[in-house]
Amino acid sequence: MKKIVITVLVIGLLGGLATAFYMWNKPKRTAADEAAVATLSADDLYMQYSENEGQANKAYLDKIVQVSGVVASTDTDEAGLDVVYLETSDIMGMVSCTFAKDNHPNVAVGNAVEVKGICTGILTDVVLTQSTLVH
Amino acid sequence: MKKVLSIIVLFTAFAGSMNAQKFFTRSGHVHFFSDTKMEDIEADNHKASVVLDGATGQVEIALLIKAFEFEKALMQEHFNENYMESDTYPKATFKGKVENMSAIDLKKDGTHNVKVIGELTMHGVTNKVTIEATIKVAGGKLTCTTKFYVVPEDYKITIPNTVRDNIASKIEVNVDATLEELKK
Repeated sequence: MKKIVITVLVIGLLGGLATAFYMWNKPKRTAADEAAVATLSADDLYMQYSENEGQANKAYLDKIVQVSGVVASTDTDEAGLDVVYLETSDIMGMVSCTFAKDNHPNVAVGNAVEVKGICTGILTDVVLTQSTLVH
Repeated sequence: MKKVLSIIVLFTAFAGSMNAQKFFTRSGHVHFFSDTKMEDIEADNHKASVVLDGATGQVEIALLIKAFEFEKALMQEHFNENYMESDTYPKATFKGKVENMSAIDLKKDGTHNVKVIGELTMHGVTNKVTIEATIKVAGGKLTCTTKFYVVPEDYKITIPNTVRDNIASKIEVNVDATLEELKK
């Protein structure tokens, strides 16, 4: 009887440790691993945010969106991540796509591209993180 | 509803042609650091918007909570879901004023220590804060840096007793942003 209890306890403990280890090292969520909940143009996404931020957040916040648009500029942030800005019809606003680590898109200003990323909301731009180039 | 910052940017860009000096970046770096004996927790956000009026010293900073990147995915999840509740409160903002801005010559390279008084809003709570900052003028660009501390409880962020020892009572926040003059 005692043996069974100890065995169960040990298995439970190992299981717990394995789960904790997995959780601790859980890989980062990137857009490349998930399907997009919406596919739309950079302008459409930006306009939906400009017109009704609350509603747009309900639809897109923390979700994967696939956005098509023309590259307005590119940049590398201080963390070494590539950032691609997509044009919208608003002179101030863009869709800013920060790429996932070690994901370097080969794009140039003026290219028509499609980018998938995690939508984090709007400041001056709609901001996507952990992005990947679809084409 | 048009977002506040964009309105301000547009307003500052187009209203009043007499004082042209508005400085702006959309890629300010905000870092925070929680240091305890149990563990260190830190995260970076490279997407902060910062606008500074070179004439009046009015400053506005905004960032998206979900754009903070942690080393561990699980920490990032807990930060967003349990503490910042970023689905409900997706942004943090600071609105304030640099004291004695008119004393700083933005046409001349140099480093200036300034005091910024304003309101910090996050997790739906606004508090008055005073922050010491440095503005470095170089080649027409302004590099603004600051370090200040935030007490989670001041922003109604509840930390369960079980992890209270893992999270610092005061969280160190660093801001580092290089602003360029806004072209009209």
